[in-house]
Amino acid sequence: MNCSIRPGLALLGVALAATMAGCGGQRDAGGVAKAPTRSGDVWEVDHPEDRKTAPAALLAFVSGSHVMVVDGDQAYAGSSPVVVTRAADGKRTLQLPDGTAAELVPVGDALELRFAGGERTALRKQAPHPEKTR
Amino acid sequence: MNSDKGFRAGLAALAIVALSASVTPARAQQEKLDDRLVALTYHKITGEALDTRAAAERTDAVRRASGFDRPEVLKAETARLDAELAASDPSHEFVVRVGDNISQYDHDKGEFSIGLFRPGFYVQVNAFGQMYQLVFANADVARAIPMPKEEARAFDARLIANGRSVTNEIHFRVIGQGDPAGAVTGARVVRAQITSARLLDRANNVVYTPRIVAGAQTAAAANGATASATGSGAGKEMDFAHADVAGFRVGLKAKDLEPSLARYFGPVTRRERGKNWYPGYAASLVVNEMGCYSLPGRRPATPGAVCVTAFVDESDVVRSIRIERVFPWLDAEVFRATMVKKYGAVADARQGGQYALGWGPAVDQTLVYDRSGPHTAVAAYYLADDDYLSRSGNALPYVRVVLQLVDAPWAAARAK
Repeated sequence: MNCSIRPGLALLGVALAATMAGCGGQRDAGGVAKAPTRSGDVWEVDHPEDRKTAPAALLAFVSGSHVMVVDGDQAYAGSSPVVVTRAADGKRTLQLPDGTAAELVPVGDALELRFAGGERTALRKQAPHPEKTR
Repeated sequence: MNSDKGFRAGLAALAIVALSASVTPARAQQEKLDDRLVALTYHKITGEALDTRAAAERTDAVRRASGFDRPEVLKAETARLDAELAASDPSHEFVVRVGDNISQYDHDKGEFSIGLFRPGFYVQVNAFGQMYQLVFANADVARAIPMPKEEARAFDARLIANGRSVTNEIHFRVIGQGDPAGAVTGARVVRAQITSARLLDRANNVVYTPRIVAGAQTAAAANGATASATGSGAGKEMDFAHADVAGFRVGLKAKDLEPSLARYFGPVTRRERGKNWYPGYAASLVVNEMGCYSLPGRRPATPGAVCVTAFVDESDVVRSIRIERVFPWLDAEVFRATMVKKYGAVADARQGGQYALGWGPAVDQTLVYDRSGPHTAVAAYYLADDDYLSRSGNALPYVRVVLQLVDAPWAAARAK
């Protein structure tokens, strides 16, 4: 299923919303998005105890990227979608909800989050949480 | 005449102080600044009350007056101060000459730094028996001396010949209150705008003239960098109606936020309003409650722990979010710089048991989770975990960073 929205299709809002729901994420006009509940993987800052990468971890926290759902070429941070652009070498350029620019670079089985200012932190796949709430 | 002394005589060269959670910003040696007029202009512009009667009591005229004449002299001096305050010109341009120094050359950035224009530094002003801290809102613009390496080598040699000391001649206007960098805190922080500056050597020769761009408050703005849509890293005004904390915004339904919280952080607990609760909220969504605190006898919170509390109103719309994360030791200056880069000029900064910064419009303090902190739409806290029982006595404490967002338009509408 094609989950991308092309400009000019706003009149098909209802149909598109249904399409997006089927893809796992939902967006509204305010730029707020629900992270998919099942699809994609949750990535979080690895080695959170490492003082050397603490400044990068802080930047990741403040920008919302300390825990993200990455679902192919879609990503979600906090309650907001992340604009993702994929390069030929597999690197993904992110524009985070607050405008912060970063790169998501594959490093073996893991990912590295690299900010425009040079800060870097490794990301690891998060183990699933129990789904039950309340 | 005012008998207050302008500054402590004999201050040595500017002390370099790194910003920390219990910072003592450096004071600069200064000459001939009209402290009294700076203070009057500050009170005129900000509207902050000046106790002119108390100030009048400190004047030579009142001190010299006999017991019989004192009430009349005090009345006259108070009236004189009131008139001076009313007549002070908000557009007055001041000049101060401050002993300063230039840093070592930063080979990575290709620049030197001017000491006084770094975050955390201020010029001390004493007037009316109280201290004022004069900070420069556009110090970031003036701070750097960019220079190619070969030119820097000759410049550095010239600085060494002067012991790296210079006189910083600063022309400025008082524009308001508070340090937009959030580094200088406390009462009576005078915000000033540099209109021009120059660095002089001992012989009064000009060493360097910083480039001051009118209206620019950051180096990025001076260089014409573009701001993000919601951020204000280049000095653009932040749109607090669309602000986020750690990627989370307000204004969405609780049922839409809850699945995201659960996916990222784990099980979510919903609590309905209880007794003595926050008056504006009907319920909250909580993740990892108490998981970010180290309490005696309990397993301590460790770096990576994240805790979230989202408050919803009667319509089940999220109106406030507080998210916190535990980090290993992290310098407070890193925290300050990161927060200012995201949210821009600080509206409120406090430093006591914790370091707190605030941005955006003021909100009803009953809607704010931490009522001691800034009562602003966005607030950020840096707290060192001093639970010495849970860790070795020599270890650096963990740091908890807390971000809080209140729906300011909703709060304002509610207040009407």
